[in-house]
Amino acid sequence: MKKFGLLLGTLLLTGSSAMFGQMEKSIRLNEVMTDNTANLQDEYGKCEAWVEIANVSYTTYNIRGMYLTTDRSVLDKKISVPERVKRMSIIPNGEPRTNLGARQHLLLFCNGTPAQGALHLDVKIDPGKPTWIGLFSGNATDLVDSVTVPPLGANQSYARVKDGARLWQIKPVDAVTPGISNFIQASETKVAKLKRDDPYGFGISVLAMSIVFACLAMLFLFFTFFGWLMHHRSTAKKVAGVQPLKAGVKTVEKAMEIGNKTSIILQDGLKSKGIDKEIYIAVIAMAIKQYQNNVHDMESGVITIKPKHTDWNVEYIQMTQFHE
Amino acid sequence: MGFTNFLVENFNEFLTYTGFANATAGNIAMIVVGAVLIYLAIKKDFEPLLLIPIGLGIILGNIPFRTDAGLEIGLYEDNSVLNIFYQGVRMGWYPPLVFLGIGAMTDFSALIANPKLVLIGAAAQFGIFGAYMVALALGFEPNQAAGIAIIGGADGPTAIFLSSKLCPNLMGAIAVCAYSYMALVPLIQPPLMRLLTTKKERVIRMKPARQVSQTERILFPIIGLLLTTFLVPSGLPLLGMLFFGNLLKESGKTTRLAKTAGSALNDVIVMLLGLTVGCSTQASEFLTINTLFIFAVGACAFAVATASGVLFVKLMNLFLPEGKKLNPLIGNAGVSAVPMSARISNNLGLEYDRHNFLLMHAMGPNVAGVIGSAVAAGTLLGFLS
Repeated sequence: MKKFGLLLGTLLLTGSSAMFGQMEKSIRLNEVMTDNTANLQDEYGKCEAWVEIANVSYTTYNIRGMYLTTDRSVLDKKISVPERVKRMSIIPNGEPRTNLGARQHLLLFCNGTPAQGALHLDVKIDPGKPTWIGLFSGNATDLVDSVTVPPLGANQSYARVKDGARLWQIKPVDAVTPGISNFIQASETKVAKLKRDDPYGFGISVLAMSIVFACLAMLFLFFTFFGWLMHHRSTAKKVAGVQPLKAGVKTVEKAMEIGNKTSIILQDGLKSKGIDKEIYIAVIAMAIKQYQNNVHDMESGVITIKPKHTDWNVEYIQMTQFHE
Repeated sequence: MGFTNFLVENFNEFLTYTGFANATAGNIAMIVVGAVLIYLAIKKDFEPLLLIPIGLGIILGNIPFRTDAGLEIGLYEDNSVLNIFYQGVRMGWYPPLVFLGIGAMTDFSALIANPKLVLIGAAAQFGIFGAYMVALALGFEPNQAAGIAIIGGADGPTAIFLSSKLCPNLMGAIAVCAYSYMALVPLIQPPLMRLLTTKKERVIRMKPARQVSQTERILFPIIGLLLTTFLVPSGLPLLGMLFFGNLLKESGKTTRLAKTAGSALNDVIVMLLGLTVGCSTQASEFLTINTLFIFAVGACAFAVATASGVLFVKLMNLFLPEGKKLNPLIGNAGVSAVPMSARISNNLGLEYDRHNFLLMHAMGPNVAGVIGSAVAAGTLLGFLS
C-alpha cells in the first residue's frame, strides 16, 4: 500500500512538474534592443536597452522570480545556486505587470539599476557588441530561453520573426515593435473569408457534416467490432461454463474440462454448448420423474390469516404510572 | 415647510426608480412572454424544468429600473449578483457542467448494443447545416448563422455554448428558441414522421437489443472521448464533460459522484442557466426582427433534422437484410432532445402496433444525437471562431 502511495505521489509530482515546465516554455525572449538612443523611454524619460518577454501561450503566467542574465558562465551546471543568483538579475515580486496574460508582452529595461523600478533589472547590456541573454526559471538552474544578439545599430532590434517563432531577424528602426506582437498583419478574419468563399454555406455544410459522420462512424466501427468480440467472448465463456481462466489458477483439470467441452462442441455442434448428450438425457429424465411424482411444490394460492390476540393496542401499556 | 419639501422631493425621486416609471412596451411584452412560458410549463407540461426558470428569468430580466442609477442589479451591470451568475453563460461553463450531468444520467447501452444507430444520430445533424444555409440566405453573418443553426441539434446547452462563443448578442434569443422548440417536439415531429413513413414501415418490429457488458459500458466513454476529441478538439468542453459524467456512472466505483453530478449539481446549474438565459432576453435585445428570423430558422432546423433522421433510417433499410430492418419511426430521435424524441418514437410506434415498444431502440439514436450535436458544435466552432 505504501509502495502504491509512493508511486502515485511520484507520478503526480512528475506530472505536475512537467506541466510547470511546459508553462515556463511558453515564456520566451521575444525582442531585444541593445542600443536604444531614440526608441522607447523608461519612466525617467531615458532611453535604455530593453528585452521583451512574451507569453506565447493562451494562459496567464506570472514571470516573477525568474532570472535574466547576460553572463554566459551560468550555463555551467557545476556552479552553485547562490553563486548563480549573484550573476543574474531577478524579476521582482510584487509587480502586477509581471503577471503576463495570454499572448502578452513585457518590456524589461537592462540598465543595471534595479532601484529605478521593478522593471529595471540589474543587467547591463553593452551596445555594439554581441550579447548573450539567458532567461532562467525560478530555481536559477533551468534555462527557459536564450538568445545571442548580434551587434546592432542604434535603435535596431533583434526579434523573432513571429512571437515565439524559432527564427530571429534584425529589425530596422522603423519596424521595431516594443511591447506588441512582432508580426502584425491585418489579415482577413475567418468569418469574412468564409463569407467570401462560401456565401451559401454549402461547402462548410458538406465539410462539417462529413466530419460529424466520420466521427460517429468511427464510434460505429469500433463498437461494432468490439461488440462482435464481446459477443464471441461471452459465448466462449458460456461454453466453458466458468469464469475466464486467470493466469495463476490454470490447472490441468480445468484445461481437461475445457478440452472435453470443446470436443463435444466439435462433435455435436455449437448448439450443444459443450454439454454431453447424456447429461441432457439425465436432466430431462429427472424432470419427467419429478413431474410424475408431483414432487414440485404446489401452492394453493390461498392465504389463511388466523386471529391472534397480541395486546398491541392495550392502553395501559402506553401509560406511565405516577409514583405515589 | 422644509421638511415637507424634503419628503416630496425624496418621494418624487423614489418614484423615478420604480418599475412603473421606467416601463416600456417592450418590457411588458417580454413579461407576458415569460408568463406564457411559465403557463406552458406548468399547465401543458412542456419542459417545465427549463421553461419555468427561463420564463421567470425573462420576467426578472425585464423588470424596468433606472439603468443610470448605478444600482448594480441588472444582468448586464458589472458586479451585480445576476451578472456574476451570468458569467457561467457568457464564459460558457454552464453548458459543459450540464453535459456532465447528462453524461452521468445517460445509459449508452442501447447505442453500444446496436452501434449502427449512431449513424442516425449523425444524419439528424443535417438539420444544423440545413439551417446554416437558410440563415445565410436570410442575411446573417456566418458566425451568427452557425449560432442559430445549432438550434437544429435540439440541444439547449450546446446551443448556448456555441452562441456564447460565436454570437453572444443573439444568445438569449437562440437559447429561448432552442428550448421552446425542444418543448414543442411532440407537436413538431409526429406529423413529419407520419408524412415520411408508410404504414408498413411504422409497424416494423426490431429485435431486442443484446445485453451489454460492464466492460463495454466502461470503455464507451473512454473510447468515445478519444475518437471524437482527436478529430474535433474544439468540442472538448462538451464531449469531455459528457464522457466524464458517463464514466463516473459506469465505472461502478464513483456512484456517489455520478449521483451528485446527475442530480444536485445538474439541478443547480440548470436553475442558474435557465434563469440567466431568461434574464438575458431583455426587451431591447430580444424584440427585434432577428428574433423572428431565428425562430423561423429554428423551426426549419427542427423539421430538417427530424426528416433527415427518418429518411436516413429508410436509406439504411435498403441495405439491411429482412429481419434486421429498422423502424423509421426511431429516426426522429436522432435530434438530441433526450428523452422526449425517443418517447415520441415509442408513442407513435404504439399507435400503429400496441405491442411494438420502440423506446429502447430510439434511445440509441437519441444519445448519439447528443454526441453528434456536440461534435457539430465543435466543428462549427473550429471553422468560425
